[in-house]
Amino acid sequence: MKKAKRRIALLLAALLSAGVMTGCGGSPANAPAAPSGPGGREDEVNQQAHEADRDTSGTRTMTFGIQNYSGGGLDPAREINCAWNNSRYGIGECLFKFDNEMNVVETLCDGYTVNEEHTEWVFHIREGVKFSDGCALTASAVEASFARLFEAGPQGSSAPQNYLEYEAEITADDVSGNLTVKTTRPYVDLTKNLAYPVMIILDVEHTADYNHAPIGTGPYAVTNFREGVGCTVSANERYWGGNVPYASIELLYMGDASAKAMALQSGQLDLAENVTNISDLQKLQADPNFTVTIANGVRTGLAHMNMAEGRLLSNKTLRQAVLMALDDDTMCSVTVGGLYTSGFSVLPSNLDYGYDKLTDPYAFDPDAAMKLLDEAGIVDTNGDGARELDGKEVVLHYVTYPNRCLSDFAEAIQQQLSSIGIGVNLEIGDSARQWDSYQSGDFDLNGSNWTTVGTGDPTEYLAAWCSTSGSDYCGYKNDEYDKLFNELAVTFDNDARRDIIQRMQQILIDDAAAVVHGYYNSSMISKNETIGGAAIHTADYYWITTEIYPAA
Amino acid sequence: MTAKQLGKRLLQIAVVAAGITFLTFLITYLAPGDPVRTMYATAGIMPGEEIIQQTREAMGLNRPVLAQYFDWLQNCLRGDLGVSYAYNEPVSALLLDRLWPTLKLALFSMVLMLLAAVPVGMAQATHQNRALDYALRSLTFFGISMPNFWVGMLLMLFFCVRLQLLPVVCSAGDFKSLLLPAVTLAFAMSAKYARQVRAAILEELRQDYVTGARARGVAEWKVLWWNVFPNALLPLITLLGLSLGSLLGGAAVVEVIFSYPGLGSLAVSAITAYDYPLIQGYVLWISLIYMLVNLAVDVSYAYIDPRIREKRRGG
Amino acid sequence: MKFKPFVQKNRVFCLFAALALLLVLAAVFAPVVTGGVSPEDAVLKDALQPPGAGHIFGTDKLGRDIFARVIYGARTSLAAAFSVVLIIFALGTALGVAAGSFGGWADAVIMRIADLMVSFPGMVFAMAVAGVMGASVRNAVIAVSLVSWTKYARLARSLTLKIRSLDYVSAAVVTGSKTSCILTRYILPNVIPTLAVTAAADIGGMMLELAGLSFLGFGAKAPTPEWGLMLNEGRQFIQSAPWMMIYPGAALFVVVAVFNLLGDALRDLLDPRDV
Repeated sequence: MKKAKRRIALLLAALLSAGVMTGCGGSPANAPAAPSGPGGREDEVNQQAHEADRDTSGTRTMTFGIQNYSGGGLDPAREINCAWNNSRYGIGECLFKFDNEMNVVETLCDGYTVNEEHTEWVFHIREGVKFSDGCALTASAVEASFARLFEAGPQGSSAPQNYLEYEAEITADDVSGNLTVKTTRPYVDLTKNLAYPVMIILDVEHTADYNHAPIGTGPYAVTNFREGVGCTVSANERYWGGNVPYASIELLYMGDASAKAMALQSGQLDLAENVTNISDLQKLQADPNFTVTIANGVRTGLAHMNMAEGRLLSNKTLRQAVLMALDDDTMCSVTVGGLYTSGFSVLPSNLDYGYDKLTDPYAFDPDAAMKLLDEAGIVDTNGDGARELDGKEVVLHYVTYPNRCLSDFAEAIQQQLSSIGIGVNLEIGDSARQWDSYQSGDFDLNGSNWTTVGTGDPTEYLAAWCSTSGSDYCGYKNDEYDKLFNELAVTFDNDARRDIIQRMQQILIDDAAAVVHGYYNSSMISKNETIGGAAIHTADYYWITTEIYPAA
Repeated sequence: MTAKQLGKRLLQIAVVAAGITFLTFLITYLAPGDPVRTMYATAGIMPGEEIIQQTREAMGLNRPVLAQYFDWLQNCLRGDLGVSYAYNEPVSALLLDRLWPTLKLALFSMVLMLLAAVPVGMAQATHQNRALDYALRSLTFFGISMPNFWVGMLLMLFFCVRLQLLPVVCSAGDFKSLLLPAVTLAFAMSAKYARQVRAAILEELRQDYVTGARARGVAEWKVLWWNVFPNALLPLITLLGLSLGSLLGGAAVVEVIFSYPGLGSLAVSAITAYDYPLIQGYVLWISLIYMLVNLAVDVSYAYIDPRIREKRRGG
Repeated sequence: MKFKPFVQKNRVFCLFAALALLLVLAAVFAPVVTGGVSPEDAVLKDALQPPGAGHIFGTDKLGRDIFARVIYGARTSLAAAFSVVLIIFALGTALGVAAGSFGGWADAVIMRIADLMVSFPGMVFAMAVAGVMGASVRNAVIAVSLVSWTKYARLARSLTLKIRSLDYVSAAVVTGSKTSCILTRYILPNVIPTLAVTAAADIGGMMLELAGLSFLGFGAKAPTPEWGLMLNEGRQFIQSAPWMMIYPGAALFVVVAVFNLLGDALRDLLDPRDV
């Protein structure tokens, strides 16, 4: 009887708790609302910030939840991510910056001239600008900053020479406040390159630790850097752009998108960037306490295909079948819930490069994909579920990382490909692993999210498929594409450039050169009670600006 | 403890410590991939073959295994655990930074665990096989059968999201940030510990001296708290030491869920990023701390009750 | 031993044994239990459906049926846990008995290695090994086994020593019986039952450790249905789709509880003194 009593007690307790568990989870949370159709990116954009009464005391602080890129390092010479961090946290500024249409706007430079051959540029440095430590920004200071950048460049991976060549002759004249840059080859528009975060101007004379406490001209300066946790930036009293709205801002690294959304709702955060979980984002959009701004951005999510000799995807039929097996529309509108707009070219559809004239020969049709493979003789002879090609099992090694829904795409792609008999060995690591595997060619599919017009121009991004550019890590070679790429470097007329770029896109599409997931829509979410003026920029380089102010 | 026994013990420790260091070194030595390429890749660079070879030479990676091991060991003894690939900071600095939050979490969890487990265990022992015993037994069952990451996520759902009482990202270092992670950890451990408390108390209650005391008319509560409990302390302290060890090791999951800046979450990101110097440093540190804790427990044990010492030696 | 009286005398044990068997059968006959639904069937359009018609546990972010994934997940979890327990049981017993029987340097070496492994907190070493070797169920099993065998070795060794010190065993040794004979007739029959009970009681704990490793990303990989991995996937959707996290967690809890109860009942069976 003793044992029976015990048994009953335990069973009852188990049943009770099971009931409680299902009860608490069962409240039907809103299933994602029927998403707006794909295409028509303009419908999703909202860059209208919430406006409120300003608190001008200059004593307030706020907490900003952000993704941790490259450990949060801030040295622009070290890594591109670090340059972006520097710019995003409001610490450093360049001679120019980009507005929401990706046009160049004067910042630390307030006027310039260029000669006819586009080889000699004279920039006038704005007067009265001071670094956050009080030192004046002079033409010599700018020259010193560039000198340091080129000196430190080879030890890092930012490759500043991609924006301004090493051989350029830079001279400073503090009397006139002019910086003269003479280049050995013509630049279509050097101002766009100089607006790129890698070219941030820092006070090299007084900066001791470039990675954790660089001294720039921006509205905020780093005062407390905590590895892996976040950092504190405090107002730059000497900011040239006027009063800095916050006394300090607490930047907190958020592990994942869900944590960001939860922290916003629980009040731990006032501001967050890029909540990439669609149900959370929709909940925040529906909540009147928050303002969600979404920008089309200039990013493409894609998986590079490794087309080098000997790799499975060097076979064009296989590539075509892969593209035909993928239902981009559903993936974009349901799986990632509208955070990406579907498309088939490597350049976003909202950019002015002739997207509407492009044609997609590989629309979603899994049956046709299977037929194509069967006819090519790529069949499953040993019954293990995966087809064979030249005696090798068709199992693609897919490397990506869990940022901006890339891993969600990867998993969806894995399922879809397995249903037509193509296996996928999925490796979800971190961004360092993804980059390493990309550069070393240790992949069949490598998923990442690229800014396509980093300097307002897609040349650098398109170099990934030009076999002579030095950045072609996917083994792609197409003579016509190479020819067009080189032509692009010497064409200055905008219409002519657009034509060339449009043709280049079509070549890549016809060759099934990459798996395009879609075009990413970046977002910023602010709490109305405490923040005004926060809206996501088109360019990814500006998060903290003086536009964001505390609500009274 | 006699000098001879102490000496023997220290020798044992030295051997085990050497073994730990060798195993730690071996983990990363046997790891797939090339450490030099991994190091550059984590920094986002891909230099040419020549530079890679030069770096290999400079880092001593072409030398035989044992030579590399001794090099590394020498550095460790000097406090130099290398530089992290991902953070580009000295490993020892990174670990030190996270040590205090980890200890804070461990100690607080232990306190919570004791507060929960001891009364429960005692209650169970004194009401053995009666209703209270069964009720508490089912409770402790939940504790040991529930995965602690599930418990953590459920707590987060209730307290952070639904009730909005506590922060979601617990990196601030204040009491609120400590609470949920500690409760999650204490939950499973206190269930296990309560059972052990119950067993230890029951064992003592069977002893002759208890019957004797009762026969002499000593009040029951006096017997319990003044005689039984102190004697039961000995095995309980050993188990406490083991709990501390598993806390240090198993807190990784809880730290990840709550984004708590402790050694565990550092280890997880180090392993994901193939940051070998950091992985090595972490394994080494944790193992040594654990070993020291066990040593402290053993020593205190022998110090408190020499009678037990002899019995323990045998097995 | 007659069946019916055994069942009547040990009702508790048989109940839990039956439950455990039921779980194992559910895992083995998963296709039947799920009614033919595959855990890998992804209908992207049906992502994140709450529990309801057609999907009693709802769907996950790729539109896969969670009920099917939970049932198939039992296969992965049970198989892995049983593997670990078998390995540490076999390895621990062999090494422990060897240490106890042969003594000398074999004993010293094996026990020092055991001391060494005990010095690593289990999870830490398992994480490092599984993470560095690459994430897979196989590597997770190896990693967990490597850190858990020492308990069995120590137990086996102390039991072996105890048995060897008994009079009739010493007599056997003195009269020149072969070592293998002593092992099989005296030592093993006494060592194995105790260790088997410990092993059974450990199944639940091992399952939790393996699920923990998968949760951190060092065990099962997508798209394998495994409870720890599913809990990790569900983390993203704690607010909007809590069913993704609740059901796998509950399943893990129930299975671990049943095996823990079984282990306890088994121990009670062999050692009636109520401890």
